[in-house]
Amino acid sequence: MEKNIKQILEDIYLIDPNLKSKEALLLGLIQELLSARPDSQINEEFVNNLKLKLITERSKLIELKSINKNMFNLFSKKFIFTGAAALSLVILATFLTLQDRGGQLAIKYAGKEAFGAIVINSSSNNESAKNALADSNQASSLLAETGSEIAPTAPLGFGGGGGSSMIAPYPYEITNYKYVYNGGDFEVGSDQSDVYRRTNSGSVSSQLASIIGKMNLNMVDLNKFKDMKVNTMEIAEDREYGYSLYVDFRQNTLSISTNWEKWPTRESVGQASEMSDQEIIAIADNFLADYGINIKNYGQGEVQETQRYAIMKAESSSAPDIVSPYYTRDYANVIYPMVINGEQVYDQSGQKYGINIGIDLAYKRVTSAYNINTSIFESSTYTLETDVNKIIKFVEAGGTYGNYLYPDATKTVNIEVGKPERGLLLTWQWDSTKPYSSELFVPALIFPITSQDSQNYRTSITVPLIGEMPGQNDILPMPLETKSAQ
Amino acid sequence: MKIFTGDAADINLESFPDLYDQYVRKIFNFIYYKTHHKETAEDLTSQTFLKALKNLSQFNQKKGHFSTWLYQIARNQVIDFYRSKKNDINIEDIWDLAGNEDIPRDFDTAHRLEKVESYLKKLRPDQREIVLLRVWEGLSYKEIAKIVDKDEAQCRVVFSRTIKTIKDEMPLAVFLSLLLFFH
Repeated sequence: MEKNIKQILEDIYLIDPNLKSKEALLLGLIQELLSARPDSQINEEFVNNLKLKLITERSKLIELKSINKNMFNLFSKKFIFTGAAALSLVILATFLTLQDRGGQLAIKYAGKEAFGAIVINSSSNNESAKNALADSNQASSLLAETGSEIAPTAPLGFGGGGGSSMIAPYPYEITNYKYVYNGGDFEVGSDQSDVYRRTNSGSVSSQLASIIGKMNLNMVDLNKFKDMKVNTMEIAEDREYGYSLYVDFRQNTLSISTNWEKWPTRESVGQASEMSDQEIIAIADNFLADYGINIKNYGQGEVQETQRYAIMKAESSSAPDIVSPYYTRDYANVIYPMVINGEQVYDQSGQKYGINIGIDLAYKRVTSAYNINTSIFESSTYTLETDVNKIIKFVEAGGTYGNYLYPDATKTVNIEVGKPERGLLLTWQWDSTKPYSSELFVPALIFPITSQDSQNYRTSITVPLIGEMPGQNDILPMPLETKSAQ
Repeated sequence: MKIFTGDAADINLESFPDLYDQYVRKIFNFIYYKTHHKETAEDLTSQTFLKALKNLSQFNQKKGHFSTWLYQIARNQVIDFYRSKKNDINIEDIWDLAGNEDIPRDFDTAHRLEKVESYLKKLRPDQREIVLLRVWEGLSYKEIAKIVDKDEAQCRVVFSRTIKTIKDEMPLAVFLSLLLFFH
């Protein structure tokens, strides 16, 4: 500050050297001005919220600019203006806009516990588990009518859903998997942390609807429909090995799959089974780069681990011929893990969650890309569970995904679980006022599984640090056929 | 954070969030020194950036630096705010209204400014802006020149002459108290 005052005075003397004789007074004057400087500390929450607002506004402007540009090109090049042509350009503009949004991580703080009570939809307490139980009971009745038997003592239903077809064949051994924590001491750390919720401005769908509403489809007068919004949209590339794009504007997600009409019938199996992870990831990287899919908020691509266990399982199966080709080495999935504020996101099974690229290894081509989302979130602070004993108990009960111990098991396999890392767990929040759920990203501990078994596909156990932890008795198993049903 | 030089290639919708990061605190301070009220300053800062974003295509680098354009928007927002409140075309900022009780001011700031307010109020808005940017913000004349859209030499002259004016017009009692207080 002294240096600054000295510089200020020297600048004054350069203009008017006579003022040097009044230095004491000028020094006092400058110091008084400095001491009167108001405290203008800006509120950082205001800074973040305004940035979010600007990013949203900017996206709207980019959308309009892109749509206008495409419309301008359409007219200036004297194309025949048909509904289909215009729609294609609108979709292209929208697609580009979604990618632009996907590159910007924007988080608006919504206050403390602003999302209400958070219920983790674990295997033990969700509606699908209850529905699966009901379905399985129906299946039991049907099988009884046709002479098959269901083990009368086996509890029915399984959290993964799947309806009446989800009945496990009679196993040669009924195996219980027991998760044993051996990672030593750990701490949760702070008892407060942020939960994130993905948000949707809805501006794209309204703007698209307003343009589509002006089209003449010769079937119906779209102008007569009021307050239209585009909820979903699908468009296909009309070329060899073309793709179909599916955009869901309600959830701001985009997925890509093969346009099956333009892909040759697949006959070869197993031709490319020796591809390395690096080669597989390179195919996915090139696809993302070619289509301009922004992965700014995602980690490096990784070959999905569950695929390996599925392959191991298929190879060790007694009936490999009935195993789906999707569980052989002909296909691979590459995950680009999603990262929010430095924390990696996991799904409830403990797999890293993010952009998922499916690759056909025989064709060496990408066949699908999904979980391509925008990155605009709200955040809210919640109190965390910090009781380590309670957490370990939950881990040994299988974590969010659960684990059922069969009472008449003939074999028990211990699966060792190591020291956890912090991450975010993807879950969904249902809102009865909306036709769809919101994605929530909840602070969680991710416990790695350190010992493996060919029948155990899990790589980690997730424990949300918010919400009630269900007990082991709540977990429902897959129904079993009895030996006489074979 | 990317630092923008103001080159035309830098200023576009894509780069706007980075431009915001670079200027938001400076613009907020600039407005706060003209309003002395945090809520008003936040409101006018929001309006400044929203207006800049919506009119970004109109920014012409040949006519001036980006920061000059942005500060001009902020300056106009403040002027519009007070003129609409008082329906008086001569009001530029809170300095023209200080002492008016129906205009909100942060208590701490009003208290801090008590000693200097009398002579800062007498300055022309452009003189006051240069003095406060130099003394409170510690900006160089090069930076000030871009904000007030004058050249560096003009800014130096305005600053020196304004300080001399304050000294000359300072009441004798204040003159003596400064000498006694700081020596």
